[in-house]
Amino acid sequence: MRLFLITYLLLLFVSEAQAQNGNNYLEVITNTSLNFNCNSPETLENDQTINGAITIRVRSRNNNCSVYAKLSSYTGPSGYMAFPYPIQLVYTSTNSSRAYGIVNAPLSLTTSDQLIFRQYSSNSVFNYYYNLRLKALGYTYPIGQYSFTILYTMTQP
Amino acid sequence: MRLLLSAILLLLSCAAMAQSKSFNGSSSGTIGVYSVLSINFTNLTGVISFNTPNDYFNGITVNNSATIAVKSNVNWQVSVASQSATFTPMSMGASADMPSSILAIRRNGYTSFTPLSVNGQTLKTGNRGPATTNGNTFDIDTRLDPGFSYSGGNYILGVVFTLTQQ
Repeated sequence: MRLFLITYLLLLFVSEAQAQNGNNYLEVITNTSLNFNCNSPETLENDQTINGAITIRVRSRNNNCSVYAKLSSYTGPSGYMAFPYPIQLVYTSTNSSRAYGIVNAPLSLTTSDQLIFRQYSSNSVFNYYYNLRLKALGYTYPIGQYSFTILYTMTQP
Repeated sequence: MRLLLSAILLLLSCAAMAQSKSFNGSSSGTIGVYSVLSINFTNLTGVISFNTPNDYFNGITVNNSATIAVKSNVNWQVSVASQSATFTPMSMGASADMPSSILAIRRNGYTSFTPLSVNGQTLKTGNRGPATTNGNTFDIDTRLDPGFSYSGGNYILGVVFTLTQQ
């Protein structure tokens, strides 16, 4: 009994350690402030892009992985139309030699997970670079302050 | 009993190992939307000339003399005023006291004209939206009626259209 209990605890520890250690992880680096200002006709009528806004660093040593993005929270002034939320994630490049299934088209974020890329297992850490785009709001969004949080999730089978 | 408990513990361990794993990260940002109002004035009329006695008897009305296009993300109003209380004479002998009120403006399709003064008067209100929003682009009519009280000559008057948030 003691042996099985020790085995069980060890297995649990190993399982937990696999989720936390440096072999498998997702890191999101915000390279600049993700703030947009709409204060002129030009900024309301045209898309705004923050170039090099986000770097996603991935290490997936134990298995292949899939990475998803979604809006985990968003706020706006009274009367604003939540959807379609006007934020897009725009893939630009990667240094990964193990990537596949990269979504190249601008991705309009929703509250549901949407695949942005997959990667085969590898010992290396790879970077994926993204721009952040605000679609032209036009003249119908109420004035005020909007905020959003993008959640990135890496899953392994 | 021990064996059964051990088997359950092992199964739980295997289940813990078999479940898929996920790793999260996030980034946050803001969007600041401020009041934006824009007005575009397209003048469709050049110099208005008084050439016949009837022009002086009746005055001259120019329909659709200008087009005003508003784009705004807040509800808006356009007011109109003259830059000065009197016309500026531009030729020898022209009167220096011709008041701005002999120039009147109305929205096209309406009957009554508003004589101009240096005090702003509301010409139109509207809702937020681009210039294509119903009511955000409209024409104005102009009327000049100096009568016979002022000397012939060339005159000029500045007219100011002001777009503000309601």
